[in-house]
Amino acid sequence: MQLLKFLLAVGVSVSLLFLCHSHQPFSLPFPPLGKLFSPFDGFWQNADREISGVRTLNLKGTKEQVQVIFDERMVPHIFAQNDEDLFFAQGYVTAMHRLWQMDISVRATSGNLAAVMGPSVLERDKLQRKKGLLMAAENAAEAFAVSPLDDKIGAAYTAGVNAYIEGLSPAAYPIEFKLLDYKPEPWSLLKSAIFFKSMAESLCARHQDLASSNTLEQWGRETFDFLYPEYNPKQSPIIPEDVEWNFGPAAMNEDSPTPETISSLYQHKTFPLPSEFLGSNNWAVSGKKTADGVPILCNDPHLQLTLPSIWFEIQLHTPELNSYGVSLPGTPGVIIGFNEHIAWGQTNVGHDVLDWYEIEWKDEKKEAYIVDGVPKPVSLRYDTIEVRGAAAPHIEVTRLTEWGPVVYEAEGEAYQDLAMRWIAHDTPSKKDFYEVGTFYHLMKGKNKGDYFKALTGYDSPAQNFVFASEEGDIALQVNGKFPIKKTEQGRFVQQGNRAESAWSGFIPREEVPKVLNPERGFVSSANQHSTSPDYPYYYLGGFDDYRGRFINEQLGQMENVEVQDMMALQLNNHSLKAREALPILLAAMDSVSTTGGANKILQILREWDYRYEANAQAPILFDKWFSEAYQLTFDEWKAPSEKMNILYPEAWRFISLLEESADNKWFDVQETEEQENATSVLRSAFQKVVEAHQDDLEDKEFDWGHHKGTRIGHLGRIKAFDSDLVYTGGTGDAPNAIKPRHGPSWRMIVTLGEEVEAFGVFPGGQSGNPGSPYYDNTIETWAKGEYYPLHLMKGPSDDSVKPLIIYTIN
Amino acid sequence: MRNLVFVFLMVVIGAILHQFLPWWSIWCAGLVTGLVLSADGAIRALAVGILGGALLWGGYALWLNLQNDGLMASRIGELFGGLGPTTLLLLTALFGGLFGGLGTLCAYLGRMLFQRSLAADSLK
Repeated sequence: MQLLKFLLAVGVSVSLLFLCHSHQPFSLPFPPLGKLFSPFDGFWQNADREISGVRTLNLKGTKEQVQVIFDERMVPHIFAQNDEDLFFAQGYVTAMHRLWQMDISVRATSGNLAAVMGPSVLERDKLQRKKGLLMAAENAAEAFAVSPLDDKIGAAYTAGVNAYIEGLSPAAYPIEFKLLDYKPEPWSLLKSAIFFKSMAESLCARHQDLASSNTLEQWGRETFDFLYPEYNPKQSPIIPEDVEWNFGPAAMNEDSPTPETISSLYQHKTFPLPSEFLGSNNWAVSGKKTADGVPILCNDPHLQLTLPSIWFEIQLHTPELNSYGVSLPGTPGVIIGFNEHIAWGQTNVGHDVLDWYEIEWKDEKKEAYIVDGVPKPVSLRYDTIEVRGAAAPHIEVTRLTEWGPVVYEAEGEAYQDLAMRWIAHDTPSKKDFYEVGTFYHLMKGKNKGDYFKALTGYDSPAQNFVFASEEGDIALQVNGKFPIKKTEQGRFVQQGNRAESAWSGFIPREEVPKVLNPERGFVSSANQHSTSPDYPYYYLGGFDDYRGRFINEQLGQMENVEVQDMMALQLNNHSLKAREALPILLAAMDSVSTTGGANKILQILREWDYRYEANAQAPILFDKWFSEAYQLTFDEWKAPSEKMNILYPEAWRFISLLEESADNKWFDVQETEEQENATSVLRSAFQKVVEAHQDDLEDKEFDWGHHKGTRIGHLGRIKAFDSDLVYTGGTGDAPNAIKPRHGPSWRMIVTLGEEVEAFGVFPGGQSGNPGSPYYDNTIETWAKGEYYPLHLMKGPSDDSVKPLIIYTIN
Repeated sequence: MRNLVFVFLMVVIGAILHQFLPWWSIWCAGLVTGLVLSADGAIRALAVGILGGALLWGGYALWLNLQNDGLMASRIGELFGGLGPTTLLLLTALFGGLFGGLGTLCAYLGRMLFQRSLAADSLK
């Protein structure tokens, strides 16, 4: 009896201990509860204490003493005596605050999620490998490793991250590691390269080749050309139209015909494209236009807003270098920032650098493909994907062709197998330095020569690099590696069985679009077309039609510019699209008599100033009206099958149709007997607005801020770690491009006078820990449109900063 | 009174073991305490373990929570369907008590078994 009791107690203990130690026991969605609730090991350990004071760290890996001063917003100011120590310390402090973010970003990009999350994410991993993200990073890391500069910086950063990981006890792991029950793994140069590829995936992987081919096949050339012109005549390109090109297209034969496109429909279920909501603004105003006579540079990159924030603010200082700005957790250096002499920033370039080629196989074995009648063997890439809980890893086999990896394929079926030609896959050509080196040279830069030199190292994702210097120069270069394309090449799926379908080289770096000190006194970019159509090289892509034009219009009118004016422009909620479209919409209602709700709605819209303010109702009503009218007009646009992608006309084209060709046949609504025109479509659409919203007008929460419902979500989609509603104005077509999940992820303004003055803010905080007061402390400041002064400390004892914590690393 | 001393002892042993062993230290602390414990009866032994475990885990969690203004607790509470920090603290104490109690109970019953067989041996 006594024995039985004893065995029972032991049995219960062991079972319960086991149950509370296991990750997802019996496939229940539970983390290991015992481990998680133990205040010595679990989440209570992530409850950050208010820390202040002085600490000394004895780490192997630094040559000389390094001081890190965390200021009142937890921004580290690193003071080192040499570059190696500087980037070692950057790696160390970044890992200290953002280790899980670094880990998960790399896993998500390189297709390594299943190793920690199990079979449910295996398909995603397989696709990442097939798309060649890991392969691309391996190619880049190989190049970084042979550049003495990139290698030195990358190795120091890696050592710093790893020094932090080595000193970490399981109790101190970031909370997400505990919830998912896995351990941080060592960092590497490859992982930094993967991080660059994750940016490439977000920023330069959008493409519409399949949708365009299908739409062309469905509607024919005439309709296609009519509805999808490549250039908006109202566009205000990045490089001012008066800039002249003193070169012809070097490697391109002008007479070569448009490459033949294949006419067929593509039934491919395409992989999810990166968001179209990514964009950015940057500009620099020359001293001629500013009140103090010194240049001002501004930048606000619009990315997916996440917690932890994508940016980590930092100052990096050695006797030869002193730079401040935002860094990306996972890569060394300052990406957008300034020093005592220059400032720089980026927006994304929309050029299409990802094309699809249809593969003609020699036979069903798919071991060789035909180019100009000659069979060429594929090479096979074997990717090993670890899967948590599975007995053996998954091996993904990808066929590699000269067009790139075959991403769309079906085993043993007659199928249009497609290979993906993407600039980000390419091993960079031999250079002294690459992306890592680019930012190092910018951080150290003193003048325009240093800026142009720094840009030569940078290939992808292509960015509009804006620049200003204390010497008074302003510049902007559309910078990156761009393929030389024949007209319309890459607009549609191309024939992989013809060698002439290939890109005919790359635009020489001296011939990429750029402008230095233009007459108009400012440079600016907001993801619009790089140039007017007279630029000697053909390019296509996805370009913004409104923000850039509005910003250029505003900057053109400004004189005696002060910092406050620049803040106001970054925060401006004016939509040029609304300004151009609403009068046309309202004109359709001119002779219509309305009552009640309809009348009220018209009145709200007639009084509207086109600003998407948080407390306004008009933006909801206008957006609804516009989209209803669009849908009624293009009601013919249906893909023949659900799987197929088709192309929809751009908003600016729709507005120009309303304006110029009101009786166009597209306005006819298929469902009705009558013949509609633009006016009747707009009236029907208005009726839908009335039906949807006439009863909402008195509702207190019926305003743009609530309707838009901006929230900043946790990177790992753990809802409990999301922000609450962030009540703000803004829209994608306004400079203040705050959308439900995307928006200005960093706002920066720098004046380059004798003493540099800078302001900045991002929505989130320096810490990646949801249990830290620095996790989301800056969201409110950002939402209110306020900025923090950014302190470029001259030395560790500079009293412009009140130190919160001081670390001395020996 | 004597039992309270044992509760205190268990808290101290637990705190020490937690520095070296994983989260199940609390069960081990129960074991160790249970072995030296001269409790008269299984219920007493269990009570000492539960109290000691709950006190150590709940108390330490409370201490950490106070310094953090409940930030982490409110996030984790939301993760578990909207529990408040107080509920989380009680749950933590409950877990500590459960494993601590199981530890002292196992040790007590084991010791009884051992003593009984010793007693049986000496009777022979």
